[in-house]
Order: sequence, then C-alpha cells, then structure tokens
Amino acid sequence: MTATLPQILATFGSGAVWLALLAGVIGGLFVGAMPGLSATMGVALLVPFTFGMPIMPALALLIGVYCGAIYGGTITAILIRTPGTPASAATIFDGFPLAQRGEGGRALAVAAAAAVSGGLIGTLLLILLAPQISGFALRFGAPEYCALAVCGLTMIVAVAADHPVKGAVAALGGLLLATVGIDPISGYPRYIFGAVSLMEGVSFIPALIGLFAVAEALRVADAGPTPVTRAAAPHGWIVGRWDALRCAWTTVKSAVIGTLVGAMPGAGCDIAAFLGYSEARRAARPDEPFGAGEVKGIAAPEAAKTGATSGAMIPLLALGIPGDSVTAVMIGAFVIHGLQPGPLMFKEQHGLVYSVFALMLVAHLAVYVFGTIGARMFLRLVDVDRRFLAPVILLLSVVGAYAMRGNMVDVWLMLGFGALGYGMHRGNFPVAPLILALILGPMAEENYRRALVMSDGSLAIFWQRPIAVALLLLAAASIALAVRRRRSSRVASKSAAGP
Amino acid sequence: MKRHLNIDPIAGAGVMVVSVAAAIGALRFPTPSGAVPGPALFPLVISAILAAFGVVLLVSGLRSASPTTRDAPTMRRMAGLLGLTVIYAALMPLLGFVAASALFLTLAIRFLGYVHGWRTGAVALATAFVVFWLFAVVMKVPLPEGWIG
Repeated sequence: MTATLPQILATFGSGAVWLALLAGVIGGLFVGAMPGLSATMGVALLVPFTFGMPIMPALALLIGVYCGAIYGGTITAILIRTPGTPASAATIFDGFPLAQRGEGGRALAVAAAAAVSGGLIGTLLLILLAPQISGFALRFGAPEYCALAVCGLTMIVAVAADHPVKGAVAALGGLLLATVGIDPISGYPRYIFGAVSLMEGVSFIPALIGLFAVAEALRVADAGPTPVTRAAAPHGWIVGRWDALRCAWTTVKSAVIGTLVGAMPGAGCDIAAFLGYSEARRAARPDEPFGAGEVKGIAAPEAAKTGATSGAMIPLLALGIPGDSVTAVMIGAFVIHGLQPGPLMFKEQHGLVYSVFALMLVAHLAVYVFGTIGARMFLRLVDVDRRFLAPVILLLSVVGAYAMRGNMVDVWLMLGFGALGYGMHRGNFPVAPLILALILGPMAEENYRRALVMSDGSLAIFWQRPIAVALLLLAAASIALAVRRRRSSRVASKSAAGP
Repeated sequence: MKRHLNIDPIAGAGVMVVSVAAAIGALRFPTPSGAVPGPALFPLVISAILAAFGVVLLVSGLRSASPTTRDAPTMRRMAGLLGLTVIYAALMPLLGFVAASALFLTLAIRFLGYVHGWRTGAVALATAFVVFWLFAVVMKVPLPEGWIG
C-alpha cells in the first residue's frame, strides 16, 4: 500500500498521461456525439495506437475515450433529438422537450452535472467493491474459474440479446473460434490448416477491429449522406441550485443502479440508462412532468450510464471478465502491454490498479469540463459528411490491424471479421457475446480440463465446490430469465396483434 | 429495390454445417490415454451444442412469418465498399501505404456518392499523410513502402 500513492502521483506527474487523457476525452466526445459511431469502435480503433506507448498513457487514452464517448451522445440527444450512442437515447425523453422550450443550456447543465456525479459515485463504488471481489476471487480454483466463465457468458447472452438463441449461437461460435491454435495443455495445433500465424490462435485485436470498426463503418455508409444539423445555440452551462437540489437523490440512486448494472457482464451503459430512467419515473410524484421536460428525467439516465462505465471496470479489474464490449476491448490493451487483469493483478500491481481508479475519476471530471464548454463545437462536428467518415474508419482499421505485428494476415483476418460483424448486424445476431467468448473461451476450456484432471474425469467436482455451484446456479437462473422474458414478449406481441 | 428474405433458416443451416465440420475436425485430434481430457473434448462439446442451436434457428426461422427486408442497392453499396477495402489491402504492400491509402480514399469517397473532385483528392491525400505521420513517425510502427511510398 505504501508504494501505491507514489505510483499514482508519478502517473499524474507525467505530461504524457495528461495529454493522452485529454486527447482521449475530446476524441471520445466527438465519437459519442457522432450518430453511428460507438464508444466500442472508438476504443477498438485506438488500441493499435497504444502499442508503442507506456502502459499508463495508453490506459489514460482509452479510459478518456470511453468516458468521453459515453457522455458525447447526450449533447446531440438533447439539442437535436439524435442520440450519438444508444446510451443517450433515454435522455431524449425529457432533454429534447426542454431544449424545444429554449432551455437547452439548462438541460445540458443538468445532464453534465448528473453525468459527472454518476461517474464519481460509480468510481467510488469501484474503489470500494473491486478489491473485496478480487480478494474473494483469490480463493478460486479451476472449477470456480470455469464456472465463472460459464456464468459470464450466459449472463451476456441473457442480457445482450433480444433473441437468446442468436446470442447463444454468437457465444458458442466465439468459443469455437477460441479453440483455434496450439492447445495450451497438450500442445496440439487445432484448426490452423497449416497457417503458422494461426498457431497463437485468432488474434484478438484484428478480430475486434473487424467486428466493431469495419462493421460500423459499413453501417455508417449504409446511412447515406448526413443531413446538415442546425440547433439553437443554448446558453447557461452551470446547473441551477434548485435543479441541483431537486435531482440530488435521483442522481445518487441512479448512479448506484448504473454501477451495479454496469458490473453485470453484458449489461452496458444503454441498459443502465433506461433502468435509471424507469426507476426515476416510477418514483416520481404525479405533478412531475416526466416526458415533457422534467429535469429528473435527464439526471437519472445520465447518472446511471456514467455510473455503469465505472461499474463495467469492476469485473474487468477484479476478475478479468469484461463488464461490457468496451471493457472487452480494453482487455486487449492490457494484454498487449503484458498485463492480465484479475485478482493477481490486484495483488501484484496494486499501484497500477489504483492509478486506473484515479484515471477514471479525473476522466469523469475532464468530460464535465470539455463536454460543457465544448458542446457547441461537438454539435457542429456532427455535420461531418459520413461519405468521408466511413472510408477513413476503414483505412484506420486496415492500418490498426497491420500495425500490431506488421503482418498482412491480420489485415485479412480483420476484414473477414468485418464481413462477419456486418452480416451478424443484418441478421440481428449480437456481437458482444462472440467477443466475450473469444476472451473467456481459453479460461473456460483450460479450467474445465484442469478440473477434470483434478477429479480423475468426474464432473462431480463442480457440485462439490460451493462457489462453483453458486456461479452455475446464477448461470442457470440467467438462462431461465432470458427464456421467460422471450416468452412474455412473444405473448405481448401476439396479444397486441389481436385475434 | 427491396426483396424479402428470411435470414434465420440460412443462418441456422450455416451454423449446422460449421459445427459438423468442426466436430469432424476435432475427431482427428489425438486422444490421450487414461481419464485425462484431450484437445478434442472442448471443441466436440461446443460443436454439439452449436449444432443443436443451429437446428433451433433453422426450425424457428422456417416457422417464422416475418422475413427480413433486404435492400438490394444497400447490399451492393456495402459489397462494393468492402471490395474496395480488400483491393486496398492487397495493393498496400505493392504501392506503399501513402499512395494506396490516398487512392483508396479517393475511390471510396466517390463510390459513396461524393463527386467534388479536387476536394476528395485533397482530403484523401491529407488523411493518408496524417495517418502515416501518426503511425510511422510518432508511434514508430513500420508501414509498407512499396514502389511509390
């Protein structure tokens, strides 16, 4: 612990860290404000930029983009009714009516204050909870790690997919892809078809650039030319005392909800924002005009979604399991710098983990400052013609995949995954389970086989360990919930269609 | 022109083919002696479950009465853009990064319907140089030089 504070001070004493963090926040705000571009795509495209960087500026850049992009969509959601990211969609309900009444500045001020409060509360919860969870995870053996991987995968399938079968197909496809390469236990090469470059397995970075950036560039081009945006220039950026007082409890409650939702694998910022909004609306008094410009309806989704960004870091840092698709991409950044997130990183790289916490805190504050003073500029950037944007994203995708190992095989792999990602989008298959399965596949397989070796081939070992049993029951419960939700939505759509 | 196509049965059949092929491949992996699980165990288990989900997707897709709409011009635009990117990747080691990137950007931007000639070329060249500077000069990542550079 004594070495932790000097390391945090050294991190923030570095100009490169500040530069990377601020560049990340500004770039992230732009990515978030641009409809069609997601935080995941922004982080995926930037991971190759971090190859030559020391670890702390690299993480500062990625955390800055993540936090910036999650807030960036709010500006366009409130002022022009176009959410830059799905996470900002819930802010439209009350933000846009307020902007229509000429109170866009007030709406943005409430949103920014709630977002920064949600981010700070979420990060404090991260600092409190993550060490406890990682300390607990140090007791895990092979059966527990296998059960944890199964639990993470079933939860993401249950939460991320409207169609659980398609989510399961995506996850199982990812698990199968994760078996490509040299078998870590026997050393036997699997599914490499004579290609030496596949011996280390399917390269993660080209896969995620393809699945997220290329597929997204094709979707952006799909949308055609951008209509020029004109919104009334709002005035007044500081949240009023009365608004701050009215929204205080809603903000705290939504931030806690958002953090807990974000900590669940697969449940990202968008789900957190809608849950935060629903809870605020449920708890509202009858005279509060939800849906017609109620400030609590802006504060709730904003606090929840930024709380979720910190929440998603809890399983990433404590267990090595990403909480959403952005943190799944971040695992790639940790790995290329020789770090494996999880309980051991907490034990052995204490200073680094606490520096990440500090970066999260500063990133949320920087988003508040730049998101508030730069709102008008980001609104103008939305006018960039998408016919320029899509080819530039494709170019950066090719360079990013090539830059990793100076290898054209990675470029072809990336393009293949791009076509797959776009096809999955057209067929309504979720991509997040596939990418999570690529990460969790080796963890699930190695620990499954180790557990069987420990028990001389008996599966009973999974039922003899209480933590593994609890995790497997949680996995079963998440599947049951997904099936039930699917059935009830079918019944609802049938009854809506009428006899 | 919009055509109606139900993707789910095709996806289900594709998933079944892939999982059967993966299972056949896994059956060729060596089997260790004793109770120790070998390299084939996990791919076989995953392939079997995946095949089962493929059947579910196929059957539910055939039963479903809601076909997905396929927009032919959109599909052509996407295929064209992806095709240009493939040609760009193939030409990059031959022409070099800057030349191939500028050419790709010019063609892709025009392909997407932007017809302002000199502006397209200027944006393409400037972007290619900026990305080259960022990667090759700032990040010290070697990029293909090719015949032109």
